[in-house]
Amino acid sequence: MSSHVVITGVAAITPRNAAETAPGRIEGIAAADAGQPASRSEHNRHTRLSRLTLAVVRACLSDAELRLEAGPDATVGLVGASSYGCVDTTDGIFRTMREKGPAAIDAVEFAKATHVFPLTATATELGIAGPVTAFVSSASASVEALAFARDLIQAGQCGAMLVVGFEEITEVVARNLAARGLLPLPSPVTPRIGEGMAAILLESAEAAAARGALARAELRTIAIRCLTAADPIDQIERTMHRALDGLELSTSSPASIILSGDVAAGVEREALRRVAARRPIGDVRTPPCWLGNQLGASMAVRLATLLDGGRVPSDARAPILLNAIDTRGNAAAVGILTAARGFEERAP
Amino acid sequence: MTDSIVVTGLGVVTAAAIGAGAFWQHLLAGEPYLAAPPTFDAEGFRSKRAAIVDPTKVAAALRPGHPEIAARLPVWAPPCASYGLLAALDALGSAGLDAPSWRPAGISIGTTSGGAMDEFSAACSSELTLPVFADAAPAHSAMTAIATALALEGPASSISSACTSSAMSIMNAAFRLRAHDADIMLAGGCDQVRSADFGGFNALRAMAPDGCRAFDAHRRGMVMADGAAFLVLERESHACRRSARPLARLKGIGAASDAYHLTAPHPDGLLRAMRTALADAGLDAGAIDYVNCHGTGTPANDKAEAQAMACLFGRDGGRPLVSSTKTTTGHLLGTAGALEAAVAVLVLTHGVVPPMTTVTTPDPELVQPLPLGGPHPVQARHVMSNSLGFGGTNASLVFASL
Repeated sequence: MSSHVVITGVAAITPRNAAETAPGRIEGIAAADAGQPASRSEHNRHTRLSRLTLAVVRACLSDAELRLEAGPDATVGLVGASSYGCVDTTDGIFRTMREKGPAAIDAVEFAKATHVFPLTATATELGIAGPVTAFVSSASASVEALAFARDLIQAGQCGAMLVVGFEEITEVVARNLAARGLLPLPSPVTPRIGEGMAAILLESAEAAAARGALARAELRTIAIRCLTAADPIDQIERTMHRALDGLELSTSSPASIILSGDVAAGVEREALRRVAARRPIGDVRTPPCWLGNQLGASMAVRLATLLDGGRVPSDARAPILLNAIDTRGNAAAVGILTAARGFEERAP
Repeated sequence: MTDSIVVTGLGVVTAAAIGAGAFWQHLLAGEPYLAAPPTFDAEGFRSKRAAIVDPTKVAAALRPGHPEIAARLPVWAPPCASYGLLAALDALGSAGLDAPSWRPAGISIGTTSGGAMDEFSAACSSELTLPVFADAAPAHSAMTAIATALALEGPASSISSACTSSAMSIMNAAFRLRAHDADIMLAGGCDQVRSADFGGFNALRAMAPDGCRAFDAHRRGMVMADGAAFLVLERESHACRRSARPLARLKGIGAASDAYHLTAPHPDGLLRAMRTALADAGLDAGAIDYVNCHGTGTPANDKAEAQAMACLFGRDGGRPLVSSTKTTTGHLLGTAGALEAAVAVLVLTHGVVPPMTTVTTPDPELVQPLPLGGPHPVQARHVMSNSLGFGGTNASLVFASL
């Protein structure tokens, strides 16, 4: 059983083309959409979301210089994270049912109306035969997926796991966000909700070393606690403490904190104040507005963007804690050791 | 040394039974539940009957039995959240847990498509985007509603990977316990079949109009069903500290994908999942006494599943005993994995495999033995529960007696 899990590849697609040159980034969503051929065969095998997921996974594997084995490769798995998943496909089935009756439902389209479809379609296309599943929750979805992927690796069930955040903002999603009061956002400085995909490749440190891969970061700690009924400040504080526990902090090596930057800012700041009273905390930042908020995919997009931009020497690592907060879901935090310092150099 | 994960409670809500005890009696009777869905008109479909929960029966059991907790269920909660809450309370009660003691627990829920996006979608089409539908629409809304009603403080997750969803949720719960993210995890699933699901499986021609006959030579498909099932999982040391009586040990977990086809299963994926679960359990295939199969009753599923089991266990038919309880319960989609994990635990604790009364002509190509006429006694030490899903997801769980 491996005790250390490292991040060896990242990729992201957002509408903003967050960067054009760094190896882990690929073209923005508009360009990726335009570049997709749509043969009948491909139409049957994919949706827009699965094509984007496939693209970001390919980019991540390329970034990590990981070649899949010929034939089904059971050493690699896929775990997805999304808030709305494939509701657009599901909504299409509902509309067909309402407007034309049950006989009009297309069997192939119905089979795609599962939230895991972008991942299974990608797995089928690339021959990824390890575990495949999807977490569908809110801002913490990517953190939950990271924890599950890490645990699969540490349990020896596979050597590498791709964590894929995927969020598609379609008409029905936008209407739902608006009806829930999440669009338009209450503050102009809050990151805009938008779509995006990101992939992060986790490997056991041993497997990465064996193939000569350099780690972008070590995934050190993950903490998740439910916020739906408990005191949110207390829960966020406890989440952060648990995630900071494994980061081996000292006054010479304090933790950098990247707050969630979402709607629970006041609550999160108060929790941070309490944490800082007991822990060595260094700089505190929020994700830049240009990065956006991709709901269930947001942590994956943030990590992929933070860690993009070149290889990190394994002996130059500092602790960073990233928060994800949803007052109707979880407080979640990810602790990493990395030489990456911030988002600034990744600005478009 | 790793602390074992034990099952200390079970809870079930199906169309035929509310409560794990009633569910076990229903299984032993082996009388399939088939009726017109109480929640939508199925007359326009090729298959018109299913095992769909009547929400009024759930409400009648939930509100008088647990008035304070039921009152905390958000008004926007989707119907399947009521099923899930009732099953969760059944499981927590059988584990000997009360509100203060379950509060630190986490929850891991599997669901197929979850939420009430159909209601929201219909409201959108009539320009009635009411907030009450809006909050219920996302797939994780059932998880949020149940966690709120139970006032849980541990990690809360909602997993959706078609018909492996709740088996994966049990895996996730086991990982949360192994990582000490929680001392107790509620793991399971809840689903409500909508008319569009009915239409979709009809379009796939995967539904049998006359009942599920898994592994029968004349099998014609599945019977759709819905409901909820939960297991209370905890580390053995924690269960011991609070003097809980474990029912079984969750010995091994494994998952793998086929990487093959959108709907057609391939035996290699399940084979890999079973081998991984056995390796996780530290067992050889010969140690498994009983397998609760996915066994939907569709020709393709049962054939692929039988091929995978023949490859792992051999073709001599000597062991293990194999059955599909979907012949009695129907297919609870994303909840099936948790329901059948509960069956696996009940088989261990009662020493009996429920019958498959709908199977009259076992397919000679599928060589595994089946309990047909009535309940079959078995002195099982290790049992396996398998789940397969659209897109080629597979999950395998191994439970051990104590």
